[in-house]
Amino acid sequence: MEKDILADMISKCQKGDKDAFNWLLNEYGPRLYRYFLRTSGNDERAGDMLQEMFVKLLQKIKKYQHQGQFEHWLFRVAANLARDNARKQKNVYSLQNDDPDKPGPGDLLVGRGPGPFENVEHSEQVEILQQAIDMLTADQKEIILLRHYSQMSFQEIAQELKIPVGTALARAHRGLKRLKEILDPKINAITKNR
Amino acid sequence: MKTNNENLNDQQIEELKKLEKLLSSFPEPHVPNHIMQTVQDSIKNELEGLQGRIRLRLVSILAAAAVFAIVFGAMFINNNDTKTEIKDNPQQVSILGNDQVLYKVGIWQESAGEKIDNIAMNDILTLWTGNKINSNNGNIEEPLEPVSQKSQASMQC
Repeated sequence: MEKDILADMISKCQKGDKDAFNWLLNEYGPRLYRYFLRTSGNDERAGDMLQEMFVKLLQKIKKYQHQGQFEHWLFRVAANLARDNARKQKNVYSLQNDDPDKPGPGDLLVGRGPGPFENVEHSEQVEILQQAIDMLTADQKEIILLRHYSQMSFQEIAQELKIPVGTALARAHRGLKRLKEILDPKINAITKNR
Repeated sequence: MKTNNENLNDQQIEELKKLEKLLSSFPEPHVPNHIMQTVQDSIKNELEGLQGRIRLRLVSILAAAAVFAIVFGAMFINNNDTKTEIKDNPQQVSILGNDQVLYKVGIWQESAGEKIDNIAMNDILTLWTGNKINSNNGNIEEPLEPVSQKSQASMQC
């Protein structure tokens, strides 16, 4: 995407141009939706969060000063929203923690081995990854997903989360290792049954 | 929350990069069309609501300005009426030995020779008489127009 187009669209959004907002939605909506889906683990909630995100954008974009870091700014807003949502959901879950259908830690930990993802259906892969992400700690999940969807550097993520860079790197490393440990056996188990 | 700085060694950094690639190799979830449509609709509604709110604010500002103008206008008309009324009954008083003519104001101290030392009162007097009164000595700096003979005579009676 050309930088000039983005700057022009941001300027139009600041003036309340509906078409410019729709352009932003088409450009960033899918990525933001996926980020919300991965953080919340619920497609309906991800849709609500995307809606809330754009309502927030309408209010916040007037104060935004474009210096070529729009994506990072956008994902900082999204990360705050995801954090607020996680806090709300934590309160809900603490009242509903006796749900027998909810996967618990270790439910997917069956065996070890390589992961031949190409033999697994698209929707299954999406679901498997989601289940694995849900098993990470909130801190690990936050860093891994922010890094994956926003393309922010670890330095920027550390700044955003107000933690040292080394801590951000270590959390991402531990989280991704854990993710692989969860994913490999799951993929293995599925492909063995085919 | 643990926030102590932890450092990864080179091997761990390399491993981290590989793990990130692994995560990227997974397909991304589809974005349902109806969700994009819903968000698009809410943007439209919010923008229309925002414009409506701006319009409403403008109308309220105009309404407030109109009310202010009416109230101020009424006060002005009222003042003019009173001024005319007072003009018909001028009072002659002596302020620090200088005979001057003043128009009677509601809270004006009428007794002769009394010093006017109240700034607020001066302001009122300035407003009512169109003349400035020195707040230090109570003198009227710009004399008012002399009272007509007729008025003086009627006052002395």
